[in-house]
Amino acid sequence: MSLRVVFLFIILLSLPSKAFTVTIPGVFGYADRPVIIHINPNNCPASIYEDTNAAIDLWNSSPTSGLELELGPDTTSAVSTFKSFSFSDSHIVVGCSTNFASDKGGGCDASCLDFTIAVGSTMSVGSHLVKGQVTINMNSGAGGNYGLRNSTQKQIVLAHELGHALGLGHTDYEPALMYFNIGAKTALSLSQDDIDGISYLYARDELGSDKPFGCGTITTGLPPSGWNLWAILGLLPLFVLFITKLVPSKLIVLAK
Amino acid sequence: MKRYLSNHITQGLISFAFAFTTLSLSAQSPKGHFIGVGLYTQNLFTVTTSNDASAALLGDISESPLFIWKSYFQPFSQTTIAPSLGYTLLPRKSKDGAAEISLLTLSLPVIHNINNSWDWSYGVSLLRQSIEGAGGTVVLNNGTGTSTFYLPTGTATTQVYSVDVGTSWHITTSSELSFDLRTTGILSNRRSFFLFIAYHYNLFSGGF
Repeated sequence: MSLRVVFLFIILLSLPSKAFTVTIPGVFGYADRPVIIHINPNNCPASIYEDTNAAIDLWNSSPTSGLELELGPDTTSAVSTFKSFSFSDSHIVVGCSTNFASDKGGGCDASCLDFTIAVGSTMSVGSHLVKGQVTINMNSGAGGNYGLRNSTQKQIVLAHELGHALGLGHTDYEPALMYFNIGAKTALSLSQDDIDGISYLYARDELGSDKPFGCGTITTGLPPSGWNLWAILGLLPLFVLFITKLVPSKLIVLAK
Repeated sequence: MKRYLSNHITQGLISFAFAFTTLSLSAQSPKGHFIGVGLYTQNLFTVTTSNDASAALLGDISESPLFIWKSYFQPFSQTTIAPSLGYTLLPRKSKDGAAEISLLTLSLPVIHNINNSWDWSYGVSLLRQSIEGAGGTVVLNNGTGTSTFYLPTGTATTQVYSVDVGTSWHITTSSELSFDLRTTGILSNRRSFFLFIAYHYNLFSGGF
């Protein structure tokens, strides 16, 4: 009887979720695939390509999303054109500004320069995004200077701002990449909230236009990498051996 | 509204087709039909649930429990298959109730008997996740002040296949506990592992 009650309770249980947001209402991501990212390397640290690639790989790894991000050729579009989306490149541009107070748009005082490492935004036409931009703070002497961050923090910042350029807004779920403050973060990763958000904007449909089993679209590395995969494959036979040879008799006695 | 209705009609049709197929094959069912409840833990090893963004070994367990229908039948003498349908009767909701996320799974495992108490299985599944939002706005911190962001509106549906391997423990003749490792995007860098734990009860055998 008690088991029956527990059983019914579990069925009716509804767990709380997170709360991702979007930057433009009623818009479902870029219509084209892949979404191309162009970097203007002027004033950027040498790690900008590595940081951008890490951010691209992270978003591309989202399992239920059809998003395909790809690094395209460099752009010569001036960072000053980013905030008004008056650059001619398709999709997303990334650049570094030594005059961040002006290039950020919307005003940026001394406090803003000290706390804002980068800014990302996007624009839409109709029901789809058409352009996005990431402007990085390289203002000399500013506390928010991107170059002052360690490698992981740089990649987290770029991935977060790319999230904005892809259409995601902030969330109040602190573990999420799209939480406004990266201060506590020590690793580059997505939360389920980020995955829900990017899947909402770029839904993957393997019964429709997307190839089954994730096939054929992404050519970069394969997470979970290395030991995670081999650990699962290696431990599986041991697990089967364990449950078939050692556990059953004792568990069956307990269950009955 | 149209998308919302279309989404529910599609899920209803899939459910009906599944129930019709399994019931029509019931005469060949060696173990009968089970109902159950299952829990998903998503994106093992990669997704974070902590403020420092470190990856969680068991992934995210926020998915609502799934109600499951599972039927065994034997299309050939040496082969047992056990198609199952799982659906979140109550979708998980965002904190403000603005979005609902529901999951439907359709699985087709091939079952091999290990001994009287244990089976192991392999097969494929379809995971169909719907994110439905009612829209609206929310004001959130942006670091130097606040900004207005928008809550999801309309419905987005994701459909992905997974490759599954699992084992079932027959607790009694009328109940079983199953553990499945489901891998989506197995041929790409979207590869992700889901652990699915389910308790099944034989609908027509009586007694827990």
